[in-house]
Amino acid sequence: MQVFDLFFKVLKKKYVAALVFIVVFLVISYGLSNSEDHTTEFKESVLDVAVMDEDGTEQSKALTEFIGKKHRIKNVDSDRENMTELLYWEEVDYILVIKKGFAGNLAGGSDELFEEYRVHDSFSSVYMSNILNEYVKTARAYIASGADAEAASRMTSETLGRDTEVTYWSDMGQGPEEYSRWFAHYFQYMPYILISVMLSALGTVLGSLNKRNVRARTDCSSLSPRKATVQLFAASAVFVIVIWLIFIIAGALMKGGMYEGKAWLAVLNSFVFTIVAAAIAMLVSSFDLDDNVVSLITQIVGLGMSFLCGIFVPLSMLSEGVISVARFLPGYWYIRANDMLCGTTAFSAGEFAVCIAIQFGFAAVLLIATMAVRRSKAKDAVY
Amino acid sequence: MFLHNLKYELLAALRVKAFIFWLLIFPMALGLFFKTAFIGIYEKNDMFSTVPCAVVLAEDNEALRTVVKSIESDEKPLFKASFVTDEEAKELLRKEEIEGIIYSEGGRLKLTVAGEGMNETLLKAFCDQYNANADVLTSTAVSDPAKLGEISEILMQEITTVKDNKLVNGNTDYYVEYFYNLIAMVALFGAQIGMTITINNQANLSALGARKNCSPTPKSVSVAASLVSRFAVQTLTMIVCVTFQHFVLGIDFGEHLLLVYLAAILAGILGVSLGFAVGSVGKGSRSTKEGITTAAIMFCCFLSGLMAANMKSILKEHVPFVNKINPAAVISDCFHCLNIYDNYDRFIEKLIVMAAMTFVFAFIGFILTRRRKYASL
Repeated sequence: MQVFDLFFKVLKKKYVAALVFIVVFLVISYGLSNSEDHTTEFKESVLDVAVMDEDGTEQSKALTEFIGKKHRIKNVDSDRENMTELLYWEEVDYILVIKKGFAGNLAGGSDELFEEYRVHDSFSSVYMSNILNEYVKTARAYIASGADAEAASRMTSETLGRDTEVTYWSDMGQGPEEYSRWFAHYFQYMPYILISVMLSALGTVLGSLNKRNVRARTDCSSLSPRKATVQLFAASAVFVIVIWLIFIIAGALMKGGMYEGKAWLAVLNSFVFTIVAAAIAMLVSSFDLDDNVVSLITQIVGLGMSFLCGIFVPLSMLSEGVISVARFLPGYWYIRANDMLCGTTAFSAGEFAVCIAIQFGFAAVLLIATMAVRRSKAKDAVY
Repeated sequence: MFLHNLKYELLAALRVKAFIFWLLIFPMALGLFFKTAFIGIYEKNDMFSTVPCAVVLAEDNEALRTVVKSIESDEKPLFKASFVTDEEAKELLRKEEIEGIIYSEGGRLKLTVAGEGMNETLLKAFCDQYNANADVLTSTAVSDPAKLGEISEILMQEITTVKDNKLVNGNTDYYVEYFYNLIAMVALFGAQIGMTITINNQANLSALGARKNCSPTPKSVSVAASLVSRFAVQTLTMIVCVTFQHFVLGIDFGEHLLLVYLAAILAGILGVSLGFAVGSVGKGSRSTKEGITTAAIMFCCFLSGLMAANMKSILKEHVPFVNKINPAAVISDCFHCLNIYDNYDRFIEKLIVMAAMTFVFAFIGFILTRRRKYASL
């Protein structure tokens, strides 16, 4: 078992980077697990609205109060740079100025009652303009029907404040109870961590053992190359399974219970992807690269797959072109399966099986490529 | 003597493969990933677009049809409605082709949605307003039927009560901030090559340093040549970085591209000076210093928004001085101010801060590297 032991001896010297990835991921996941919320009823979007009341009348105050019933009113400096920064970073969604003479013009006269400041051509701007126009029209209707200005403002707020009955279609966009949003997120980010851990630990350890001189020394020892490879494979398998188990057990502990129902399919999905990540690491390690280059490849493969395959940015946000490219990467099929499990897309057992099979296919191709590279290197080697 | 040293320092700096990877290839790859992932998100999520919805009528509602038609005829319509049956509407909602279903029953509207967000909120606001108008008309019909026509006319009127003031003429897509921070990261990674100035000139840190200390070249000439060569290499890196982002990835840096180049070059010089200073402090080994510097740079970039674009804005609210002393934040702010503001005041202010930081770091580096004597080499 010399080669098996050697694997773990080398690992002892190269585990720090992998440990950092694991700890950071688990700490962030733990933080998120405490802030999970489960939506069962519709809630309107609440905007941060800054109101600058230049009129200062009962009517303008009534309007501010009306806006404040559904949205957060914020006080901001009227300094242009400050307003620009707040709007740009969306700390404030809308800045409204109620112009002087608002109360007088509400009954009739000029329509220019407000000014808005904006940076983006956003929904909030369209929404608020629409609300304000409707407010003015309704108030004018009440005034025309004989109410005085103050009563009209009060009645307008009351009438427009009545909520329409909204049904939230809860079987849409919701995952099953046993596979909540938190679980979906936990498993969604796992591929990035798995690739990073496998490349930074397994990749560098195998890389060290595959270095030309080390390999030559092992090959001329009394241990047959076949036995050495089997031991190396066994050690790698133990490492890969331990890493995968750490994430699976940590997931169960953070949720405070055993996996149930569809969550087991997510466990299966993550296991298959772990094999893919290990296969990537094995392929990279067979090229006899410098640690610095392996580190660069770790970043590029990990971040690249995460950005292109919907790990960091949901698939629904990615353009068609990017998705077409992503189809040629295993991360895409992992995320497609995960999206099905958490209810982002409709679940189909057949499609899920296809996603798993394609990931297995990627792992097989990578392993064949690894063997081909090693064989060609062995053939070319002159010791 | 200086030029001779400069030539070999330049050649030596260009031959370090690790720098080519981390200063050129890695930022290019990261920029490409940012571009592919963030392309179109701003338009999809933040910019207003007409909301698709379905309308299901329990009985014919001519008033609703008229209102919907009037809204759809706007230049930028609030929503686009298809009048369909209940089953068809649910199918459309399931396929995510619409954002909600508006049900009309007895002259009032109800809404069914499958998600939460501004699209659904807009649909609800429309239903609220329609129902409110119905209430006003009903109460008028009871209290004063003679005014029904006048009230109806007021409610159906198209008015514009809001005067629009757009504050920014530049690129308002804040995903561009990731690219500003990427430039800041490349600039600060210049610290790695800046660090080699002291390491290669200090006898206790490298064999090359030991040899140089035995040579007759004055240390000031040797260090100055090293510094100038690193500035030149980093300037080249920054030019490549901005060129790649703008001309290959198509990132819109606003109308002042030459000033973007200028700021990026100054930022690169700041990064090299930072490395020069860090390399001069203490007797730690090369790998220790490199590790600490890389970690510190990534932390600075995290605080300036490389991983989450609104980080600077969060810090501004809670610990504003961090943005003022964080070199990555100062660098990315330079590009931000250039894009957002019509005047150059804030841009110039940031350039001055960058120049001051560069001077301080270079000064520390010179002070700590001068007059080092060795009892034995």
